[in-house]
Amino acid sequence: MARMPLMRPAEMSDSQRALAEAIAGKRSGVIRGPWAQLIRNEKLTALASAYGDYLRDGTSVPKRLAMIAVLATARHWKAEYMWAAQQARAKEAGLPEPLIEAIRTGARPRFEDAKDEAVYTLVTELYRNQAIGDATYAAAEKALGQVGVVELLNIAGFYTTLAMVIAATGVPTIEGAKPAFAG
Amino acid sequence: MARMKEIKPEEFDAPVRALGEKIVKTRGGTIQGPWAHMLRSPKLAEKAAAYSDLFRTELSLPLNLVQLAVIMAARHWNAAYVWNAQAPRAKAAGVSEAAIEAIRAKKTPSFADPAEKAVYDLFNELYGKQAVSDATYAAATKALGEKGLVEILNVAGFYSIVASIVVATGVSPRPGAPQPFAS
Repeated sequence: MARMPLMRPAEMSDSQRALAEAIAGKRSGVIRGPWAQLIRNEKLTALASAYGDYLRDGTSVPKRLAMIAVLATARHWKAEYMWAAQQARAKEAGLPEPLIEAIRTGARPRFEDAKDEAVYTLVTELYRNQAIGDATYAAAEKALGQVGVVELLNIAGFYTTLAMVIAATGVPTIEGAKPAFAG
Repeated sequence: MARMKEIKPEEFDAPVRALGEKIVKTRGGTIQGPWAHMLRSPKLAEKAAAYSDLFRTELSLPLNLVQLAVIMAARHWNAAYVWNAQAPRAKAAGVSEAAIEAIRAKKTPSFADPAEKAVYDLFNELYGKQAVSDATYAAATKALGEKGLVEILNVAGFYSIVASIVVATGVSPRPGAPQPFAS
C-alpha cells in the first residue's frame, strides 16, 4: 500500500521551502527522505535539524564511531533509505568494507579496533535487550568517555527517530540504490 | 555496578548550571537523571531541550496521545525513572488508569478512544517488529493526520533517547520511588 507521500517543494509554503532548502544545503542538496516528511511541522523540523546538525558535526564522538551507530540503527530498523544515504558517509569516515558488510547482514563483525567493537556492542545490545551489561558499559565508557557515551546515545536515538519515520511512513529508498536488507 | 555518576547541580560551572535550570523548569524543576547526563555536553543539551520543548506547545496532537507515546517508550526501554516521571502526566492528560496499568504490566490495554488505540498499535508494532502494517498505518493517519503521525514519531524517538540514556548509564528511580517494572 502506498504510504505517506514525501512533500514536494511545490506543495510547501514559502517558509517551509526556505527551511527545506537550508536543510537540503547541508545534506544532499535536495530535501528528501524522512526530512521531506518532518517538514510538515516546520518549527519541529527547524529544531530537529539544529539538533541533528550538532549530533553530526559538533560532538566529541569520532565520525567513524558515530557511523557505526548510524549503520547499526539502519540495520536494526531495516531502513533502506537510511542505509543507502549513510553507507557512503561510513566509507568516507574510514569504516572498513568488511565491517560495513557485516553490519548490513547482521553477522557479528570481526573487529580490528576495540573502540569500533565497544560502540557496535553498546548499540546492538541496547536494541536487542533494552539493557546493557556491565562489561559493555565499561568498554563504551573507555572508548568514548562519559561525555561521548551520552553523545553517542543521542546519535543512535536521533537516527532511531528518523528510522521510525522511514518505517512507519514508507519512505522509499534512494532511486537506483540496491536493497540492503531484502529477503 | 555503579555506572555514570549524576553531576549535582552545584557541581556544574555557573553557565551550564543556569542552562540546566532553564531546561528543567518544565521538566520537574531539578537538574537530575538523564538531563544531568545530557548537560555533560551543554550545547547538545541545549539543542535537545529546544527541540523537545516543542512537544508541549507546537504539536497538532492532543496531549493524551503524546503522553501515551511517551509512556510506551518508557515501557519498551524498561526505563523506570522515565516511567515514574511520565505515568502521572499520562493520567493527567486523560489516559485511563486501566490502560496505563496494562502498559506497565505488558498486557494489551483496551481503549475507549480509537485515536489512543491507533497510537498504541503503532508503537506496539514498531517496537515489536520495526515495521507497521498497512491497517495500522491507515488507522494512525486517520486518527492523527499525516502531520500528527510524523510528530508523534518524533516524540517517541526523543523519549527513546532519554530512556536509552537512563538504561545505559544506570539512572535509577529516586529513593522511595516505585520500581514499576520489578519482576
